[in-house]
Amino acid sequence: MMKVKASLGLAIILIVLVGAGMGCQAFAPAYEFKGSVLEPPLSLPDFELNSTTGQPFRLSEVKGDIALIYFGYTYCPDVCPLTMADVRQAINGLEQGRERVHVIFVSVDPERDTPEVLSRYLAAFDPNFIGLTDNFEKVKEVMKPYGAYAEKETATGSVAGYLVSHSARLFLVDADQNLLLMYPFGFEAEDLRSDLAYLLSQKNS
Amino acid sequence: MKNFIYLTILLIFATLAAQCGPAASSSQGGGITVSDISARATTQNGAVYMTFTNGGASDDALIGAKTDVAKTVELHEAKMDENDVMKMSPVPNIPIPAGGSVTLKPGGLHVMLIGMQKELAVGDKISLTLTFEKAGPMTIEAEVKDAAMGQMDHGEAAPPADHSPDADHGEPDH
Repeated sequence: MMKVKASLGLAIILIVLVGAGMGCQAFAPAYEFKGSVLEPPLSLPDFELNSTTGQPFRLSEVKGDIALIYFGYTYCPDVCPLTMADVRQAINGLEQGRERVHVIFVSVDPERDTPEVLSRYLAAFDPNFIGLTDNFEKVKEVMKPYGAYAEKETATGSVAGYLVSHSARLFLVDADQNLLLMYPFGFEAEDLRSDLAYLLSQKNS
Repeated sequence: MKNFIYLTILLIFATLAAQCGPAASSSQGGGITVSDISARATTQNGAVYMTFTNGGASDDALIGAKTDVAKTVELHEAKMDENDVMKMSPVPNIPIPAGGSVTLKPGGLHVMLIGMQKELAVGDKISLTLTFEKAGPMTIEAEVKDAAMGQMDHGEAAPPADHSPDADHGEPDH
């Protein structure tokens, strides 16, 4: 009895080892994403919004590459700059494939975020970051498929006049224009870098 | 004997000197100690973070602040609601209970600098005057750190090791 069990155990171990050795997906440990994975990934509609370059920008322009989308505003001194800095840190940590990651900052405060203001703000982080600023109602429609939300809030007792509440998540759109991953506010730059590096390594150049 | 007296006097002066003047990253006044100070600035606005410790016997509160590098300084709080929506709002003051401490950090309470008067770079130092209800005004210095969250944990750089040549160190005999 023992002999049979032992042989069976040995056989299983051999199969696993051979399988792993062959790089068989069923046996090799899969990469575990650090961000929140959407399963299945959510197919996203295209959108078109004005960018700081003066030309309209369409999400489909970057299809085939990875897009990191964030909805925020430049007046925000705390949450938004921190997120942009973390994104920059993650991207700077990539050994290769940087050019296939597009960071898109969509303003939820078009009144204050004119193309000039937004482009200056983003350039301080990285001149390659894309800034989109357009009619607030249009932006809110664009945010819906991401489950993202923004609203102007009167700020009594502040020279700001108003502030904008907004979803603070970072959205990762894969090469097929699907929402694949989300990162909550305060995510670790290293986690994002790791996920990006994995995704970039999956594409055949 | 003379050397001992001189040494004692020197020590007393050193201790007194250490109490006076603003330290690079922490300040004390009227029972309130401010530590772990750091700032972040964008082209528009900025935020200053710090920890208050109230070692005094009465409750106190931060009621305002001002600085030359920004037009207006306000106290704000960011809060995430149950839908992961970040809401920010001004607060009239930040209470610091007696014997307690309050930490201003990203995604939470912060001193908001509105309308930067100059573009700041990492490493720049901002002079900020805080006003406490009981402790009164206190001027602190905040260094602009890189805004990535992980890097803010660097805190104080350790003082350089003392490499001054000494006479024999006198290694113990093994």
